Amino acid sequence: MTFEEFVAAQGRPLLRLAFVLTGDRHLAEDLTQTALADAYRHWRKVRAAADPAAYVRRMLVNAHLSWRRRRSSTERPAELVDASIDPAAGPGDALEAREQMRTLLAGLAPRARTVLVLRYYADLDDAAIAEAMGVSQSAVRATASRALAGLRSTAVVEAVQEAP
Amino acid sequence: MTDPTERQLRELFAADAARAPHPGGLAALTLHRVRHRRRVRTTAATGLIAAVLVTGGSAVVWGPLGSSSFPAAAPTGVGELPGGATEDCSSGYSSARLAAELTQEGAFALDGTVTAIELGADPGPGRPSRYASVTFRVHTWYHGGSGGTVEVLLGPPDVTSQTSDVRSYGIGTRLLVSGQVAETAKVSDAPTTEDVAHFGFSCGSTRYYDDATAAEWAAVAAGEAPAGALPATRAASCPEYSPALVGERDFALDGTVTGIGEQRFPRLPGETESDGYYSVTFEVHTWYLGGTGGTVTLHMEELPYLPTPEGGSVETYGVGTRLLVSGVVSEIEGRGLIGQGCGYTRYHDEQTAAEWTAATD
Repeated sequence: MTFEEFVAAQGRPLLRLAFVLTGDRHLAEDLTQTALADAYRHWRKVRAAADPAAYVRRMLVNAHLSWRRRRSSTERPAELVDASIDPAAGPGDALEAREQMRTLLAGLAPRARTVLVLRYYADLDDAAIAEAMGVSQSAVRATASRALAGLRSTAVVEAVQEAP
Repeated sequence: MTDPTERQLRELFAADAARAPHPGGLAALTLHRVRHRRRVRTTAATGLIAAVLVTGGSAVVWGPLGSSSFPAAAPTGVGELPGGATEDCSSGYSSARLAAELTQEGAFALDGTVTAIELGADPGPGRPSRYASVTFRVHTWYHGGSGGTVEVLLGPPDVTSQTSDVRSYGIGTRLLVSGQVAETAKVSDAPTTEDVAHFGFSCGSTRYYDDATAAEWAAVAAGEAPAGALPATRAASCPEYSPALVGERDFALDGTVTGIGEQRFPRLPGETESDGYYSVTFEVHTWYLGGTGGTVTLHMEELPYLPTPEGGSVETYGVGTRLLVSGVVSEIEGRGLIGQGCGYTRYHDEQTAAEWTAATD
């Protein structure tokens, strides 16, 4: 498998994952290219991996978390929402709930949000998430559990506050 | 069971993913980034660029920047640029075809050297990109353009054989490119966000540079009369043309087209379609072989127009075109004389007319 063949097969899923992680198309493109450039520089190792796609996904996730750490002092959560995301894409209540969820996600710690994306978008199990993030499975379970609990409780509080 | 929060997350992420940017040119952009970093690092250290790009097991060595910033061994070749296999290339290349193509609105032709390549959008796993955005440093605009650089959408630089990693073209390859400026809306995976783009023609109309072909293109662009064989408009098997073989045809003439009718031969019992020959009437200047009279109606194998890969057509001959035509008597009674393609019908020029005279004496 050549690098170009790998990108032809995995470029789209990697870019989609990057977009879901960052919420910004320019950041997503930059993040994907960064991960692929790393993969290119270590192509022999990537190609020899049991699952090259998982290997590069881990590179992408690590780059994302590294960027998030560097940018966290200046970045506001609102910047996570890309202007290109069409707010008219869904029917009323569902759309409102989705936007509320988006806002809640933006308030999560980068690692917590990443765990949720890998679990509920990439459909990875805890072992694969742990491998992608370089942490233990128990850390993944704990992070996911806390993140979900936070989302549920915040959503409930907001729903109560908005009730007439 | 999935709880509402988990379901909401899945729906939200899936909706976001569906709006992700298109990964067009991702590999090329990544490689550009890698090379750029290497150039910066190496230049800082030595003042020279000597980066080695390893792709698929092959190495392309980049020489010192200066008068030539291209690889020492840019891919090159002779004649038609390989690729474009998805197109119907039965029509082949000829200067006459080029002349016909250059009559189209937005047509262009240039001599240029490749300075950058960006691969097109990913059409899906296992499927090659249909386009690459290729930047040229233009040496000569023969037709329809200006400026020192231009981006042209070409077929990707495919590997030319199973035993070699050499691509059909690369940075530093000098090409003769003809094509047409067209709307990108017609092409779903064009690697550009512009409304219109320069699309390079395939089927031989983009070629490796050589002096003779460049001179031919310059002549065509200067409006000189088309020369050589009529462009082949259909796949056909026939003997290779030579002036001497004209003497073995059933007829040969020099004539000017005065009328073009419809497809002359309708379906016969058992045939599923007409043979597609066109009925073309000539004012005959000279019968070299096999006929008499001042006019004749022939059944021409070659169509008076050339289908283009873009779905249009260009005229290859019409009323007023002077042709040298040779061919055979149809084996089917009543179908008359068939003007053959495959080089046996050509645009008139004095030298070829003299060759036909000699061949039929």
